[in-house]
Amino acid sequence: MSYANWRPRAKALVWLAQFSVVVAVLLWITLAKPLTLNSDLSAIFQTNQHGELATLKQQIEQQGVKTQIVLVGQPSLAQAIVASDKLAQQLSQLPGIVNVTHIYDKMPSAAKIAKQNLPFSQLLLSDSFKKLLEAGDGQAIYNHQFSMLNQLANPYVGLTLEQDKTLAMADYLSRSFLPSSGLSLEAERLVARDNGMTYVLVLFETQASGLNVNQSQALVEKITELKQQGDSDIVYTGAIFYASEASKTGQFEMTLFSTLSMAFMLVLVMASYRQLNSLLSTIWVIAVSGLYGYCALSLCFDEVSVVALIFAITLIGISADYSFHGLSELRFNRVNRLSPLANIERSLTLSYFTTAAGYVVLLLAPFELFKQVALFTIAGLLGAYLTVTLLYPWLAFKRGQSPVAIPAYIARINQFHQRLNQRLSLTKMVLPVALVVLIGLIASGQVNDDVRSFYSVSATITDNEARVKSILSQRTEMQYILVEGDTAQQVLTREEQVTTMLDDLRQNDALQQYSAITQWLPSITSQRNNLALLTKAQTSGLFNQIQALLGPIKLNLEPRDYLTPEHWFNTNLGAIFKSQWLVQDTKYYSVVRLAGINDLAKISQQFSGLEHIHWVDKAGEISSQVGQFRESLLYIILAAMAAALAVFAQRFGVKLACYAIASPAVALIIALGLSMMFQGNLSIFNLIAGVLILALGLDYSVFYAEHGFEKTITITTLMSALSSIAVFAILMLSSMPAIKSFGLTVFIGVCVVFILAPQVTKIPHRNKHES
Amino acid sequence: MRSLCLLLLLTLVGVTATAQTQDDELSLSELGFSQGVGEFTQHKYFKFLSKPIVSNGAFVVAGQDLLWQTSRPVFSQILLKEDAIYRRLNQEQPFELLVKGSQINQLLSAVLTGNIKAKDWTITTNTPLCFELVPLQAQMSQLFSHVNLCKTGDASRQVTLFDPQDNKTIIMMTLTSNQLTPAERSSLELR
Repeated sequence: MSYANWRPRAKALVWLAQFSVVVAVLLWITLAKPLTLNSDLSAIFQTNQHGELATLKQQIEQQGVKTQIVLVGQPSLAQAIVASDKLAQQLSQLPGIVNVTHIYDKMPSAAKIAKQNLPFSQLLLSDSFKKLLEAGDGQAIYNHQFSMLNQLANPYVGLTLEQDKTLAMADYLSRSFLPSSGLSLEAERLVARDNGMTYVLVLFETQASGLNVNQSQALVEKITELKQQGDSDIVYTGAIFYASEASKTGQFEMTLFSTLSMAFMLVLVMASYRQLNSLLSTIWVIAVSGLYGYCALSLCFDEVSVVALIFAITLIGISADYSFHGLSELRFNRVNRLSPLANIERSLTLSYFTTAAGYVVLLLAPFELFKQVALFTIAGLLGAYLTVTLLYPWLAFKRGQSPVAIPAYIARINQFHQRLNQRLSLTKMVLPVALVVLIGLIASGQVNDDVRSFYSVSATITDNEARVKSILSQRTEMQYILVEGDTAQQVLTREEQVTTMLDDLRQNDALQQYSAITQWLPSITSQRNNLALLTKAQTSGLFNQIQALLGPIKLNLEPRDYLTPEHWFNTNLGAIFKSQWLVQDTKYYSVVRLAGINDLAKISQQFSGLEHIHWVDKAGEISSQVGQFRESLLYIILAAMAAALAVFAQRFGVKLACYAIASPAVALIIALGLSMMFQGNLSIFNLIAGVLILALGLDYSVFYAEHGFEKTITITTLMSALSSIAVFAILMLSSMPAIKSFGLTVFIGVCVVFILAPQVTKIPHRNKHES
Repeated sequence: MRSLCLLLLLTLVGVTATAQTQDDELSLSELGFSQGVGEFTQHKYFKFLSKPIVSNGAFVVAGQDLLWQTSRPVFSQILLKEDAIYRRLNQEQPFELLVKGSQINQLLSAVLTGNIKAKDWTITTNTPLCFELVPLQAQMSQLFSHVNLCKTGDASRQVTLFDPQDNKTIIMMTLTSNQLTPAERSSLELR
């Protein structure tokens, strides 16, 4: 017995069996590995990367995500110390917070630093001192040396002068080694001053780098509470603050949008079907689809992005379509009680596969966000499809109602739609317009792949970050350079090549500052060169003036120990830079941090494609991947249209197939054109919306091609279009630019495709009677 | 009774100490100036050198800003601003940042201008015209173990800085005017 001949009861039992399996799986998931919501905005476009280098990059990035910065401001240092001590104490009591650091009593004394470095004097030279020696201008060298001698408050001169009369070591140690030029060490605190206020730095780390919603919200609420309790000016930044806001916004939008969508849906159902059963059935279909979607997400992911769930709200609108198809058939048509949906089962199946095929494209995307949205929707729609095709026939069989009249307003809309359809000419009127829009789109080529523009954060968060950066005079960028080598010395030598290139970029104003280990720990080769440079300077008489003042300079030319990473990272100075040095298996890596990038393209170009030197720009990499995927998506859309054309041509004939494809294609072009007009550019989210327009448009075309311009089809497509329009119009209210773009394009596209879809009814259907 | 005497004694010591501090501040305030220009001669003694390193130049003070310009034997300028110390070896060049932070520059500026705050130092009087200042902050004591500040004339003073390595710097300062010309005022700008 074929599926079409199954009795409603058998279908219902099959539905119940598969539903029970899903519920069982869901229970197991809830107990074994509950899905956690991730509100970390930086993880939205997380890509699955494998390999040693990728792991290392993630490790470096995770460290940045974990560390949070708070600045406690008061009019005086004493007050700021009291307030920061109190805040640090309260923070350390909060769950999820570790390593609260605000007292720097372990900072080494100048005497200790000098003692640790003096054995390596004449091997270590600052860049400026090296340049002076290389230039070979004796007077300039003496001026520099004398100005150091003459300084009123430089502890390193007194501490090193007796052993190193070249003053090279004093000069080398006099540079600031603090992480930010705005900070100074006062009263064992890192202090910054701004606008008459004194700020004390408090750093803390969060236990987990992937911050879940509850954790981040609770932590930030507590910090806000602490801020309100005192009279301090508290400024903060860090991933946790972004995550907290994203989760709050996400939860608010999810609740608001799903409530609005559901309310609209229910009003729509009541207005059209005027029956409580229809209302309950639609709610059930939406609930089941949500359950299936959640189950699939839980099975395939441990964490799901809060943004993915906002996108997933669209499932309400699309899954309800299946219910509308079923309800229209059962309510307004005289149906066979034993097989009440026989008339639309094939269309529903085709419809599910076209929509699912659209979302399968997103599964191929290299980003977790799109995969999560696609999987949720495909599984959710499967739940809706199975419920309508397997459960609705049994409900109809049990009730056994006679058909009721289609509401008068639907008849009027149908009449209007028919008149509009007659007047509109796809080939003469719509296609030329679409062609012009398409040419305009291609000509302007305004695309935006910048991943940073896809989500927005509140002014409070960005203001706080800007203030922290301004107070700390910190311009550290997200981009960095990773240098790898088989030995520690190989890494240092390669890093020195990098710093030479960076110095050139600084001279060309492409970059303001950088921080590299070799600024403090040169390679052994460089240390030998430094000694050679000093020896040459002495033999050339470049130190004559300072020798006349201080006495003869004795350079230690005996074989001696060089400063190595093993030794240096155990000194107080080396400990500060330990986070920029990584050892993984047998490989060594160093991180060169950049600050104040003025010409990103130039720097990126300089360091791209070098062997063992990796330019790391996470946002840039993701943006480039977004760009590649956007280009692929265009071809996928074209391929999908070609595939649909082939299937439709076989079933309906070439001419009708062309019309059936043309409607969604034209709707897509017009939607993209208008979106470009409103937004100023197009992004990947507009194109993804295009996939959905295509999928929904093909559904409408299938139904009109199969059933003609009937009132029952009009009511179904009208309700489907209205529900989609409502859901996507609601998404336009989102604060996230990505979601807004998506909603806008689908909204326009569905409006256009609803108007154009009946154009297929103008073409005779060669297989209509067979169907 | 013995306890009462001890308490009384302690109270008296406390009162005397407070009075002493107030007296010091009053006397010290006579040494302070908030604006002016002058000249200086600096003798830097390193314990391993038999002869001092001598330099001289001029200074300009306006509030917390202080320009310390060495003219001989080598030109250099040190500019103390509210939140940092800058240096340049050539007037054609812009200033470069030497030290960020307000503590060192404020204390250094205080020593040179005589605007001493009792909370930053332990102050004792050596002679009627001299004060010995010992920094209270551990970070500052890495720079100076102590400072002697002496009045040597109506407009002149001697500042002696002792570092923890027993090297010392003697600075003779003479205030030539407490009015600033526009050029002198603009020399305090970070350009």
